[in-house]
Amino acid sequence: MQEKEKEDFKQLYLRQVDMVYRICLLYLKNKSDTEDAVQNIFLKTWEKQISFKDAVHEKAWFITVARNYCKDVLKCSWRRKRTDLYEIIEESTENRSEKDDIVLEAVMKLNSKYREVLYLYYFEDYAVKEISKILDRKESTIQSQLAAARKKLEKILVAKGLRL
Amino acid sequence: MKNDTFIKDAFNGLELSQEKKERIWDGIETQISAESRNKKKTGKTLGRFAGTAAAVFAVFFMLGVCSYAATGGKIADVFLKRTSKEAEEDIIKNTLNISQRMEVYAPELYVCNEDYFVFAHLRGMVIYDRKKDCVASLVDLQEIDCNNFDTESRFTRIVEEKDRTLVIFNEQNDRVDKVYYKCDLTDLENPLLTQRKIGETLEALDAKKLHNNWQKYKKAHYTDTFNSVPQSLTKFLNNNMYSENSFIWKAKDGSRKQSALIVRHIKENPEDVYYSLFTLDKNTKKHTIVKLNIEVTVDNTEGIINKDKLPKFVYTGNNAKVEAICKYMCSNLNYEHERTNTVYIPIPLIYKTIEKKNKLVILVNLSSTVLTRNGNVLQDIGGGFKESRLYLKKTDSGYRVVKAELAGDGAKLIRDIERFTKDCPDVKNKFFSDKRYSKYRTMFKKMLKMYLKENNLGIVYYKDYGGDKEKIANWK
Repeated sequence: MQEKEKEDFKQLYLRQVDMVYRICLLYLKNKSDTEDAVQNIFLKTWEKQISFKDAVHEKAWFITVARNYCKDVLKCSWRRKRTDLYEIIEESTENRSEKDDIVLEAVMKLNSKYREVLYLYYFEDYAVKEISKILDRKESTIQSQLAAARKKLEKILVAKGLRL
Repeated sequence: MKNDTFIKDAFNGLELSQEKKERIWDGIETQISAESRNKKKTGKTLGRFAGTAAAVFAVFFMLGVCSYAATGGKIADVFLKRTSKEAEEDIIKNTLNISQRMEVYAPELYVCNEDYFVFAHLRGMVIYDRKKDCVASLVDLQEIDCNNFDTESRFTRIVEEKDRTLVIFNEQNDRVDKVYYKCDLTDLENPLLTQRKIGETLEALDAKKLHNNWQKYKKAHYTDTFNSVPQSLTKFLNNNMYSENSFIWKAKDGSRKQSALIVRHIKENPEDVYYSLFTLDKNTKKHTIVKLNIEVTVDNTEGIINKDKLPKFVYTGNNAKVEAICKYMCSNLNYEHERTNTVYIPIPLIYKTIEKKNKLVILVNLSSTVLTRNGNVLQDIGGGFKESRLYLKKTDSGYRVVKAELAGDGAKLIRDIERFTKDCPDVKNKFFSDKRYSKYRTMFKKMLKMYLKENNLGIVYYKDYGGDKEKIANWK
């Protein structure tokens, strides 16, 4: 392998690894599977020798690949060894408030279609139009999924005694 | 608009530590470097080796034949193919759908110790690794016709012959099938299933021995769960599904334990269930309930639901009256349409038809059944009779039910039937005659065959609750 190629690929890895990790975590809810997934997704990327048009294309590509990979893993979900969400939270690198943990736990209880729109909208800061392109769903669908996700999230959080 | 910052905050800090990033990168780097090295060094040789290895592997599993040297090369065991991915998914799905099938009891354990336990149901066998706390592997029991559980006369027996070797066989009226199976669980994740024929193998147990071993095993390892737990636990058991019989085993420290599966429903969503392993120490009477890691994610369940949705019943026969009645039943009496993986089969039993100009009055028992798919088996999960008087009107294409008088339940039943059979009292007795069961059975077979003919579902068997599997192709 050319050293230059390897270095470029490492930079790509460092640019995208956190996002790929979060997306996989949203799907797999499991630390060890998520780490395996991250490694495999980058290996696949290396094998395919993709050249990205720009940063937007690169990011969108990784979102799609991570989603598809996780869906494949979930097809054999019985093999997964579940890890408590708290284990993931404990390992997180920033100081998190108790509220953050409660909200994350509630997000994780939502259906994946809601988890991913919430994540892309709020954390990755994508607009509805962009999410619609990435997820290949109608804009109106994304709007209604966002609304439904917020509603469901609120319901769970209120039940947990969290005032928003 | 993105003012719900608490949602964004929830994702904060969810990233890999530098150390982990480096570790994962090291893994990636090692693999891509190795690949690149191998490509350079081995070139086509590797390809040929891989091809040969794959071919050997394929022959081993496709032909699946192994011979013992001691038999002089005589074929003794037939290695069976590993359970397919589709079957594995199906087994897990059916494990979780157990409560939807109106089962009374949770599946039973056939082996249990500190390392692993095994349970089985109509679809397959689940091997659970207790040390890793996850399902280690699954065995397709339908494929080998060893899924005769909760049956009337034909039973599948699973016995641990020696450590990590299971013997699986069927018996009917104490007569053992000639073919039986051994399942080597030395590697829990890779069970090795072999088929044996009684009398043909070097170390074959004869049928009597198999039967006797089962009897001994049953005596040594099984006890009625409800009757053997302390009274303080009976309420807990009643609130959940549990294995009818507990499995008794000896722990490494010498203590005697009994274990059973508990299937618990999640109150907020009754269709969500989870499994626990209940273990009672026979001496101290202390118990533990350990939640098991058997689940299909919400995402996957959606896929499964779509994949497994059974098509609706559509009458395709040439009797216009029956067609109209079936349409009416499917639209008005199918209370199961929201449930996934079920199909409502109308089975109208017509007793009398009175013609009046272009109208018909039909005295009919609107019996029906609801079936669910469990691999290649359609399992009966409920149904019933509904004595009725229907009014049909002629239309361009046949008939349409315009009015229906249905007998109510309980005290209303007799009163309603008497009311709508006033002009034909002979029908009243027919509604209650024992012959209605055979009439029902004939019509049921006809309707089910019609359904299966229209929908290529790969269904081979029908199983009534508590009954033996019936091969549909053998129905006359």
